[in-house]
Amino acid sequence: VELLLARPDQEAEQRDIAAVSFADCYARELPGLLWFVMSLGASAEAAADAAQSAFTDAFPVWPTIQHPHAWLRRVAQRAYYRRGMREIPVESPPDRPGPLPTASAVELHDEARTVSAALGRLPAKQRQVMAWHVDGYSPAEIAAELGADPAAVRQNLTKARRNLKRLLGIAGSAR
Amino acid sequence: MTGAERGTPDVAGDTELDLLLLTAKTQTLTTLVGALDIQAGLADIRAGPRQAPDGPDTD
Repeated sequence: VELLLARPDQEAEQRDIAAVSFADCYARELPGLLWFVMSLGASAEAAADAAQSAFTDAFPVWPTIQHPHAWLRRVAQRAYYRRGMREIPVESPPDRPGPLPTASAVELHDEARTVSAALGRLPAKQRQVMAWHVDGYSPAEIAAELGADPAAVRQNLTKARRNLKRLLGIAGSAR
Repeated sequence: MTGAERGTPDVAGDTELDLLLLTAKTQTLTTLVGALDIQAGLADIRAGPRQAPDGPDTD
């Protein structure tokens, strides 16, 4: 209603505010969104592609998105899965520059590489709930985001954590 | 993080796993912050979709 009643100059001002808000959110959330998609098993390049796709979808409807953190993860996850979890060939770079200038720009530390490899070896459902879990979502919230049964999410989370401990050589994994 | 906070029972090795996950995430975020070109990414978005969008989402 406020938008309908706004004068043109007010509309322009509201668009400017939304644009600033979007740019701030992009700068703040993009690294975390890439980490989230990488936790699903994506390379840095594929994660950048999915994250950029989610932000591109968000841009025209930005003022209507109430919970950007979850919205962006949901849409980036869908973009990654829709593209068949394929990798972006290094020899065919995108026709427009995105946020990740070169694949070689992302050189992960040893621990990050080890954990990323372990996450990548989990079964798909376990990897999915872990990605949300590591980003701070509770099993009930994950179930709501994925449209899944909360009990199944808790079960997958327990299995994922047990498998990760085994893969990472952490004591207490033998159960 | 406790089992209650996680929503799963406490099991041996949980603290070590959570610490390792947190370390990996922090390291990756630090790397990404240094590698990403935010202005190029924003310019790409303002130029419009690269291909057919996935369709609207609701919140």
